[in-house]
Amino acid sequence: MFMCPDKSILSAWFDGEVDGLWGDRISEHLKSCHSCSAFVHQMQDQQNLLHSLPEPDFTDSLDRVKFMIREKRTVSRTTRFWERRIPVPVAAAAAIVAATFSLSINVLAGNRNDGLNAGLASAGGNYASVINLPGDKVDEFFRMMEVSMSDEFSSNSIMELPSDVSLSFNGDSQLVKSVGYKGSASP
Amino acid sequence: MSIELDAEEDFDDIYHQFFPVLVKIVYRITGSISVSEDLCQEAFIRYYERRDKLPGGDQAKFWLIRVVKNLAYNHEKRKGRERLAYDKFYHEPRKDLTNEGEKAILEEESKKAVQEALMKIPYKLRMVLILKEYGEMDYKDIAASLKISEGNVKVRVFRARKLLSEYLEKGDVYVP
Repeated sequence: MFMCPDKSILSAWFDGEVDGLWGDRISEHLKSCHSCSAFVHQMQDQQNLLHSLPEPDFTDSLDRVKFMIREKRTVSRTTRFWERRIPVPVAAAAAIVAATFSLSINVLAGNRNDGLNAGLASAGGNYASVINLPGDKVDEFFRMMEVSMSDEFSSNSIMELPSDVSLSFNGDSQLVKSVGYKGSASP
Repeated sequence: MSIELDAEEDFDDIYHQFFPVLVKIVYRITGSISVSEDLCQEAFIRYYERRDKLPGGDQAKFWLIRVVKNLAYNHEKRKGRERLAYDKFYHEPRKDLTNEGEKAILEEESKKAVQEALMKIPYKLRMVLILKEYGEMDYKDIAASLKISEGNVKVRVFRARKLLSEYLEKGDVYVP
């Protein structure tokens, strides 16, 4: 005689997940077992109840989704270049900027002496040279950045920018934060 | 330009194919029309943004289900306290109703009670039962979309049904 299957098996059979011989035997068993057939009817009632619940109407949703996507794309396109996020880790970006400054100073120290701040250099003790850039010569700063690719640079230099210089128009706040400002801790 | 139009059409196809199912699923999970619409919209926007890297067909459906499952779960955690208050309201004793108008009210209340009974089922069990009943998915697809075994799906569906029966009996739900 076929014993009553576990109710979890009956639940799977109800979902059509028990095939073959085992499924056939359960079907046969249900014809003669009141308890198991009552359980299956209970599952059927529950399913009918779940499917009788009203469904919300979302016919306008596609238009709203497309509108939101268009909005996002429009914002993305109109974002100014210098406001875009650069996908470089902050720590790595800061390290690159710091290394570039150090290298560039060393080259300038070898080529020119008019900008050297000997007092600060000797006070710090760790730097071979310190150069001060006038605030209105930001172009010069960028030229130094280009020259910094040269092999003539060493890492034992520091460059200080005056407190009134503004680099924020270049859009990289990390650049501003990475620079030590002469005479002031805040940009 | 035509590539962009093709991409738009592909997205529309995916949307029309899966949004109705997805929104039914999320509605039953969250019990809120506005929340389910918001979560599904968020899922489709994420799909749109990553559509070049994502597969189509059923795999897209599975991906979307995973996204809404996570979004709904986060929503569930956030709204836990509010839901408890809601549960309390629906567990207050109901008056005896006799005439037809009152029966209609009772029917409406019972539908809410069914949704509330669903909401009381633990999230992991509820998710599987809802995918089965509203997601038009078999155990294999549910297992693939939730990344669990088919045996686990079988057990969870059974436990969810058992709990739902208990909650419905306790709530004295009127079945028309």
